[in-house]
Amino acid sequence: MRLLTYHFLQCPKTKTFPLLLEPTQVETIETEYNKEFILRMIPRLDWNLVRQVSKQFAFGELPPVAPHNDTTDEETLRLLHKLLLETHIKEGVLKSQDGTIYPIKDGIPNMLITQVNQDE
Amino acid sequence: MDSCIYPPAEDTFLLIDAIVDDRDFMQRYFMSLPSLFVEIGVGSGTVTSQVAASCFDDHAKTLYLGTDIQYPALHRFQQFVPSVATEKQRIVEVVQGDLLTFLRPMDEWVCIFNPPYVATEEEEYWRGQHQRSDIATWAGGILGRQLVDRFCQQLCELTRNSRRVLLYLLLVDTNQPTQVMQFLQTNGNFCTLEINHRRVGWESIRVYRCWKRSFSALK
Repeated sequence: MRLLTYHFLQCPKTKTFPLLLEPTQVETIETEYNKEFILRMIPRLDWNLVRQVSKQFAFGELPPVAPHNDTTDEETLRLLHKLLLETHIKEGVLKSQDGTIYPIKDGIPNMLITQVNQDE
Repeated sequence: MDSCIYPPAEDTFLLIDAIVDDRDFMQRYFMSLPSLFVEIGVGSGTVTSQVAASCFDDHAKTLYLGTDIQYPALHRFQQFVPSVATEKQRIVEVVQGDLLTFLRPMDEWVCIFNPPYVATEEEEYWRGQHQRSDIATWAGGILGRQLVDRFCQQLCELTRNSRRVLLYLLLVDTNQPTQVMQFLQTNGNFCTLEINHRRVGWESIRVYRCWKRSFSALK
């Protein structure tokens, strides 16, 4: 799971976002830099969470405001590329506020609530 | 392990053709090509890979999210992704989940769903869902609609405040598609249109395009 995908996940049980990410194995896989892709993803993300994740993964401080389409801040875009696209969570867990744990196994997050609820 | 992966069949290709042929509509609807695709029940990954490769051949600015209830399907798909992804620089991600339950509400995305549409006993449907076995890839319960109906409810709920969401949904006549479309129109403010159709044996397979009405002027 790339860190990008983490930004799209909510707890299926409590419908809360974001989940708490606790990785135990992280992998960096080189990916070709695509500026337009990054620019198209930025509006989809919660910038505060991106900033928080950047600190959590020791990528440093990001600007308080998300870069716009016409940005000249190439440095930030490159950092976002490394953070969101090249950083993969191989193993770990996602934790919800209510304590529910969703494991990440071999790079695949398991977002199933273990019991299938017939009433739903 | 591979037995619980639905192999690509006639319906798979009908769905792919419909989506690929609808590229102009997507372009108009999103005023650019969409930046996010979510396929529910990604199975063998054929639909997502084909759409990524042929529909958006010249376009590497889209994130593809494939989800399935079954871990083996996703695991296999993930192994297969690098060949699609590295050659064409596609970003393809997989998540194990139950329909749309794990997705945070968002706007501007395309959803693809080829559901288990075969009408079965209710018990068989639940058996598939509980055991997450190969039965789940085709057993649709009463009218073949049980999972389809759950999905539609979730979609309407999830996109309540969204302006542009586009769904490609495959159904067969046994599912009574008119009812499904009416549900999406009434509860999700979707416009609906049948865009592809094929007879396979005694069954008619249809692909529907459903899009949020905010842009109803578009045909």
